[in-house]
Amino acid sequence: MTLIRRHRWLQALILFGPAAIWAAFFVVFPVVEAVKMSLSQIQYYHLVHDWTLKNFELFFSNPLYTDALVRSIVRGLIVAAAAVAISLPLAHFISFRVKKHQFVWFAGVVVALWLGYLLRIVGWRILLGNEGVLNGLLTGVGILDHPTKVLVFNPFAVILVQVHLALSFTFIPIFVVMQRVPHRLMQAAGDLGAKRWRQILEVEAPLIAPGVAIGFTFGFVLSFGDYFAPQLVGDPGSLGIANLASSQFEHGLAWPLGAAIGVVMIVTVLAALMLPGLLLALYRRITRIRSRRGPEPSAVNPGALAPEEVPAS
Amino acid sequence: MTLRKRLGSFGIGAGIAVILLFLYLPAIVVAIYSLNKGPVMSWPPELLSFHWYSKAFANPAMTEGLKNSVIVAVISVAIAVGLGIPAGLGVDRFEFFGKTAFQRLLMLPFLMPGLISGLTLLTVVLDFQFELSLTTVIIAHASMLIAIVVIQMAVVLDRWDRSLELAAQDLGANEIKTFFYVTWPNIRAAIIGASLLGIAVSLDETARTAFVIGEQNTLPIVVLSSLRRTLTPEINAIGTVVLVISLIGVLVWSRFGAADLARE
Repeated sequence: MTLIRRHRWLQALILFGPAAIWAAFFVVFPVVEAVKMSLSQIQYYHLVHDWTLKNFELFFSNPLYTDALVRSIVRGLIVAAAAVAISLPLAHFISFRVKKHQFVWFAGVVVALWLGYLLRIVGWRILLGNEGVLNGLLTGVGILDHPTKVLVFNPFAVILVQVHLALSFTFIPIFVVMQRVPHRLMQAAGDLGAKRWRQILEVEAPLIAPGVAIGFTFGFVLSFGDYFAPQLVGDPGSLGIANLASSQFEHGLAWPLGAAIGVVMIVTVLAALMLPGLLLALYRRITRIRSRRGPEPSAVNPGALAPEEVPAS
Repeated sequence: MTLRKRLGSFGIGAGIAVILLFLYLPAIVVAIYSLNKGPVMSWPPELLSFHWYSKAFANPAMTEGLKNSVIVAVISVAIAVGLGIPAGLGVDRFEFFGKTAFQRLLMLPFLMPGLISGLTLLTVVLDFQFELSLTTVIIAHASMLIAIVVIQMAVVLDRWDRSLELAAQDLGANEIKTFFYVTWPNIRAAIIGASLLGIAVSLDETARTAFVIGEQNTLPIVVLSSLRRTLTPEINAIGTVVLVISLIGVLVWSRFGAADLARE
């Protein structure tokens, strides 16, 4: 014990050691291994590590693959934007309009998103299917004569399902930052004559920007990496990069190409995870320039309005 | 209240109602059709029958999958807690070069799409010709769940006063005693919360599992393979059961969380 107390590095080693070893073996090493495999080839049913770029050349020269990459990125952006657009009013409503039992409302939203991943896809298939609920209702009311097949197995259904899947990842970070917006600030802006929209844009928006950025990124990453929705509610045209990656391992010996697609995906996701930090810095800079130029002293400088610096009344 | 204002708040209310309906629709539909009589999930549902529940629990693939899922969830949560508690304490206590990088590394398997975790792990298995089994599934799940434990630890340790630990040590307690008598009672609620959340996440995990699954399937993999063929209401039945179980877990957690908050 005295030995441990005397040497702080030994303490650190005991505390961090197990997790560090685990991460080294099961997180870092697999990534290294995937990169190595992406630079290999299969020859005579054996994996040959010969440091070739052939797999990446194959990937980037074939429009089938590059189209899938672009499709996944575009879909990710659409899904993230839609999920944020739904989360924002919902979180705002619960944070600022609901006076009592805010926690119950929050729990009510989260519980709806607690249904399993595949089960939600099942739910949407029942809703949108050929003999499904929506078709039943539409023909029952008389809007349609016959059940339509266009509701499911198309790119739109994939987006719909992914938005639903992404909502838990966008709603929670946005709700958390909204909880930290002091109501007094909004009231103060109102007392100074700002209309509700202006209060939201100039007081609330800068304060919740970090949560929105994080939510957007999570939404994008979820859609980008999802290979079930395109398979289960999409058509062949809605298959994305994630489907290509997984199918390389399902049949045949295309592992090196699969690993290369995986590496492309890792790079894209890492870029997406780092982007919000960069965008936030840019946003801060723009608002600072605007507030310096703005005529009224009430224009918001997010740095000066950090919640902890608000004087207690 | 002017007419315009009243219309406005009516509009807001209607909008929120539509969003909540959108959120709840799949869960409601799955639960309703689990009580459907017939095998085809068409409108309107013919209620009310527990036929599919008994069928699901008589289906060996489903029960076997449920059993394997529970085994995987319990073991991977145990690993994540065992590794995550010391790492969380360390993150709270030490400042060193590369600490942020280390924290991000622990977060990565959670932030990255499951596909990437599964795919990279699979390349190791293929290259070294290991066997795919529930062990590889547990490794994939535990790596992801460590992040949940470390986040919870960071949240709870941020709130409490470390001088309590120092006081205990001044009074002669060693590190181990200090942990069990001072630190543990303070982090217990957070760890239980993280464990319940971890179990729920593990029971539902599909993306990484599909890559590293061996001969024995977990429940989501059983559901996935039957989804690829046809929809059977058995899925709805067993899904509703899992939903109810994990909801009970969340309720228990919020009780613990409330007790924890009340003490403060």
